[in-house]
Amino acid sequence: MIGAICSLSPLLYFKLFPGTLFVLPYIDQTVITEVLIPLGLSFYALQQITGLFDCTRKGVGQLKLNEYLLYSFCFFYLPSGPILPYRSAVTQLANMASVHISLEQFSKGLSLFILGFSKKVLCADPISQWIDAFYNLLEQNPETILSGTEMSYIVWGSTLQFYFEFSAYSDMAIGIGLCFGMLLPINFDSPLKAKSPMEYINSWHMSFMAFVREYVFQPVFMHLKHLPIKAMEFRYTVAWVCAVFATFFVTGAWHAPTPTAIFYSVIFALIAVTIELTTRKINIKHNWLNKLLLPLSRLLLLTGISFTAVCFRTPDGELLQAVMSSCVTNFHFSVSPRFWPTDLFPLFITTDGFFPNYPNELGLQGLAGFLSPGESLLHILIVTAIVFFMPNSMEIFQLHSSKKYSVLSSRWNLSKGHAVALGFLFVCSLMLFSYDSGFIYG
Amino acid sequence: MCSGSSYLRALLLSIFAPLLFLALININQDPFIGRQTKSVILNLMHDYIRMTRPDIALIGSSRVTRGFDTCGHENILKLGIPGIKSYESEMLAKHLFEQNHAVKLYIELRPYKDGYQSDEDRNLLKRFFGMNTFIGVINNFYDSLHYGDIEKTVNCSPNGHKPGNFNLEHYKSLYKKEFSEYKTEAFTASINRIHNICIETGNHAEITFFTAPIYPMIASIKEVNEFMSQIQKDWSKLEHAASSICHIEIANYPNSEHLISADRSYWEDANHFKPMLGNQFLRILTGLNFETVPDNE
Repeated sequence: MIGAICSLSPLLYFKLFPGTLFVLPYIDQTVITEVLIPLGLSFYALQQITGLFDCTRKGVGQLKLNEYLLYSFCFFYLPSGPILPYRSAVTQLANMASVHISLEQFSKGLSLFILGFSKKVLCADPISQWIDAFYNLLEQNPETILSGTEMSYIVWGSTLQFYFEFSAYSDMAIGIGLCFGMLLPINFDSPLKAKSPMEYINSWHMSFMAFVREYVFQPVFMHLKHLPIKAMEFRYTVAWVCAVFATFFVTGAWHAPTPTAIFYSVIFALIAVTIELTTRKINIKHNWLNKLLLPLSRLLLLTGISFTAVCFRTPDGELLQAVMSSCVTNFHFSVSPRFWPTDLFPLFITTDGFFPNYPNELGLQGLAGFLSPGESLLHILIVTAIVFFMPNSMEIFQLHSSKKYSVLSSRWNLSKGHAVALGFLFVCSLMLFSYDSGFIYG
Repeated sequence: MCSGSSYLRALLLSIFAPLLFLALININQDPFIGRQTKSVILNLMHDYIRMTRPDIALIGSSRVTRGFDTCGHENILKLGIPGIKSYESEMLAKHLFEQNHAVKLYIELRPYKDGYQSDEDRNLLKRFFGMNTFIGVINNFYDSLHYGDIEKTVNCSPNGHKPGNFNLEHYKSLYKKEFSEYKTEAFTASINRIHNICIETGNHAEITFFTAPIYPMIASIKEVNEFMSQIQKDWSKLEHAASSICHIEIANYPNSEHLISADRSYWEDANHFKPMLGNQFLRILTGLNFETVPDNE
């Protein structure tokens, strides 16, 4: 326990006091310097905790010093995960030394890396650029009222940006891992296709959720299920509810230990618990009612997820208030599409009605790094279609078999067509790779 | 299905072949890909001079290219190089004097640092594999299809720029850094060099250094104000350099909010004004009347 506290202390310090100023005395002067949170500290701390608990377990081997250093500071999974538990690392690092890496596996790893990189540059960054632009606008003119379209773009865009950016980092890490003969845990299983809050939780940042399940949820549940309550079902329900709240409290605190972040996590836990308990109690016999309620519950779930994403994405409370007040006071869609130039590039829609705060003043040059309002709307629609109709990258590369439905069932294989397509994707991504979103998950 | 080695070969080929193609286009088409390629800039300029036969030249940064719309004024040459350095301004002025053109020369005044400034703006990745130039090539091709009967000249403000990231704080910090690095010696040396070039080439030119409009909330920061007053002081010491052959003056207009509008409709981003504002400024600077062409707005 002392070890776990020691591992978490630096993380807590940097998260509670971000950008801490240190006074460094020099010979003839003092220098005040700002120390930022070390890259990957969040994931480092959690991995060290798994090490502390796992190394005392029976059947789990010990890492040598060089293996331990590699495990602790490995460049490809330390910055953004996935979290590699100590017991898995023992096996993986032993494999790395003994197993011959085939060209097929190397190709698979490289291809997954390219797909991850493309997801970041082509899907997440354009959305991030527009959301940043809206936040800048609100920062400079706090009285700006965003239109319904702009508001919706921020809300849904934040969710998509979170998903694509973070899953892209995971894909890249898993891809590089494969190139080195290491199989890292998968991190995402199409969470936005989830039908219930619990399904969503179990498919988003899976390695982190596995960690909190093992080190927070299970200990709390196991402890509380022995509460002096006679009715067994009620006792178990109380233990489960408490364990869920504890899990979400820790999740919120790990992401950003501010009262706001913890508050939103607890609110999400409340919604999740309410929906879960209600669906357990209500047994809907009518099939048609089930069919009607399913899309409604998914819509509610996506709305909840989106607003949580906005809360995490918005830099400060005042901006969040401005975004929310725009949502309440001025929610109307303004649509006046014009197509340009229709004869040559019919896909590039430009409008001056979608984003009234950013009237269109673009041509084809907009593609060079910043999509025009119409193009960005088309882009977010395509990205949304990818989320709901395509298999996720882990399914495509056959690293995980998902039970979630996809319209297309494309799978990667060693064919020249796939090689050329991925090469093209990489070149496009490299050409557009210019935007520093300045946002790293965790 | 193929073997792992064939797959890797196909993958690497499909990556490196287009990248090589893109790099070749960028090297060939982008005259500013490396700041050392003076000959490319001069060749380009030579073509421009041949096309426009100017007697007025505007030299400056991207603000000149994007903010001044001199379309239709065939006697005016507009030369804007994004992030122009002092040696590039001097090089362009020298070339103009050698061609005996440009009786009136307007040079944008930016903070002069020690020695020649290096290009820190774009890294190698963006220079060689960025798609701005490539898109520009496609754009020109598209324009040639649609406006084949209208000759587009370099004076016209380009159609459509990215709506810049209006991050005021970001630009404030950039301006603070840039303007605080101003060095009197570098400024006086540069002005003297241009003056000497003008005299050596025997031109009876009027050279005006001007400070382009700055976004009001940036213009009010301490570093910019200090630069403005310092440049006036340095200029007053330099006035003896003006001779009857080459007349040099400085147009250091104040950038207060009363004169320069902070209205977003006048600004592409906090660093670039639109021709709506730029041409009003140009009218004050040159005394000529500039109409912005509606198609370019």
